[in-house]
Amino acid sequence: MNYFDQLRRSVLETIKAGRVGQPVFVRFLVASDANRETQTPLLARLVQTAGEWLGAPPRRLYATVSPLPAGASVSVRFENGATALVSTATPGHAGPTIDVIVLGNHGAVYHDGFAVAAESAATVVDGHEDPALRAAIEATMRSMKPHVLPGKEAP
Amino acid sequence: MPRDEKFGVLLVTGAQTHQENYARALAADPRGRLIALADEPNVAPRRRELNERLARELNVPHIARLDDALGRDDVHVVSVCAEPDRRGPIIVACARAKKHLYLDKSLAPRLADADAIVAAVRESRVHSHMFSFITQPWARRAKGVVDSGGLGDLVALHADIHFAKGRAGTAKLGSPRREQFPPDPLTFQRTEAKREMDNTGVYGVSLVRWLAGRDVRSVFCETANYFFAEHQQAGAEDFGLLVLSLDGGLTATVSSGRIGWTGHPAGGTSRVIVVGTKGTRVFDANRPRVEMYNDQPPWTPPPVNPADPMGFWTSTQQEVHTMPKLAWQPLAAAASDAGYFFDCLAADRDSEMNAAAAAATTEVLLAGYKSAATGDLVSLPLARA
Repeated sequence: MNYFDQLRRSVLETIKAGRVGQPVFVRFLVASDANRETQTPLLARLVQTAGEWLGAPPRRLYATVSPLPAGASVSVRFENGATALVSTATPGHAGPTIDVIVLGNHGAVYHDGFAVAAESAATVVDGHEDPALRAAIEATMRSMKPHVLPGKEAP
Repeated sequence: MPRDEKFGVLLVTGAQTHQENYARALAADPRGRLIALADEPNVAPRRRELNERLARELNVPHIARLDDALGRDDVHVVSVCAEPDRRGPIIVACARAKKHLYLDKSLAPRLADADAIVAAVRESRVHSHMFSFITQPWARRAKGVVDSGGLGDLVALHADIHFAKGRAGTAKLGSPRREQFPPDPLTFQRTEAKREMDNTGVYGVSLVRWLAGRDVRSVFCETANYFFAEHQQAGAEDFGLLVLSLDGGLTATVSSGRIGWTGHPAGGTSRVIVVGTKGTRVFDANRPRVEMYNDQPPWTPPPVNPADPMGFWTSTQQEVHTMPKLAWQPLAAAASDAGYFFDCLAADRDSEMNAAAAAATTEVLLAGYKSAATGDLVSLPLARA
């Protein structure tokens, strides 16, 4: 199991144990060697993981992408009203970094990515990214407008 | 600098506002001298009582009519902490009286107020400054790195401002908040709740604009009620997130809100992540730090003070004997924001967070409310009436 998977599982177990109440917000930043080709799958993987932690599928996305590589952000509203900010960035001075804040209504989980060096983006992207999510991220990046995914209720 | 080498400071509005802190910081600086506390003559009886209370504590006279106080020659600076919905006209009156302005954040809840303040400050040629994080050591370090080009060209900025106060866990979850635009100015500050996308987001947005030195061109925003029933019942959000596009293709994100006493080992997250073409660095109010763990009783949240359930004010926190959180001690002491403003006045130069910068921040925040209400991207500048 790689570093990202360990982090993903550890946060999930903390949430499932009820230690922070109901999770409502995720701040996810991966500072890595992602490039134009790997950026969208990476963002999709991070949004999927945030959704797993928050317990709901994404409903509304809005992405910004810089003209330079590795500078994209996605704002996500999930079906249950939870939100996330997911960003990619150039590597930190200590190497690649995965930084996480998960806010729950009774507590919070912090993973201080800037205190440790992580792995390259390749170990985050595992080929299991939801194609519809990838397409939605690409759509909002292209249109530079919010994109709504199909779901149960109006976002 | 005035002849007696001290700036006379008039306080507008008293206890149970940030004036409790600002007044003491302004008085603690050797260049400041408190003159009096005043307010509008028609304030509610409870507000007048709170004003008189702080005046007594600070041992300064209470002047019931603001105009009378503004007529005094020994007043050079006015520290304005009136409630947000009253703020605009008061600040304009102070500027027209040729007084320098030390301003609570955020500047005002109406675009028209913000515009009027900027115009009055420009016409009166006074100096102005809004309280913010830009004077703090961690923010100055970030500015130094950005300006040095050490991270290459700026690509993105990500700010997180979370206040760990209030008894969380009471908000009803499960559905998105329905935002309103324009936001009701009376909802920005009530006894039990403030609009936190504005109240805490102002730090993140002002920090991002200052670091980038660029204007915001579009805003996407979500507001939410995640933590407190008080906010939900008062029609105020307790959390918000913003995605900003700035001149030159720069992007920024800001998360902000009040997250509850138990959500952080210190006062909450206050940080900015700077992304450049050559690397990424974090600048954080709590880094570098020492951490201490010992056999003293652990920190526990204070009982709820009905006069201030969210822990907004110093005096009301003292009333319920709020324990300080001591486990994390940042190495750099907090800087005096008031001292920075006196530096500006002494040098006859403008603050980096003057009324114009504060008003630009207000416009971004109001655009955020519009975006949250419509679900759309909002372009700046906003339309004027």
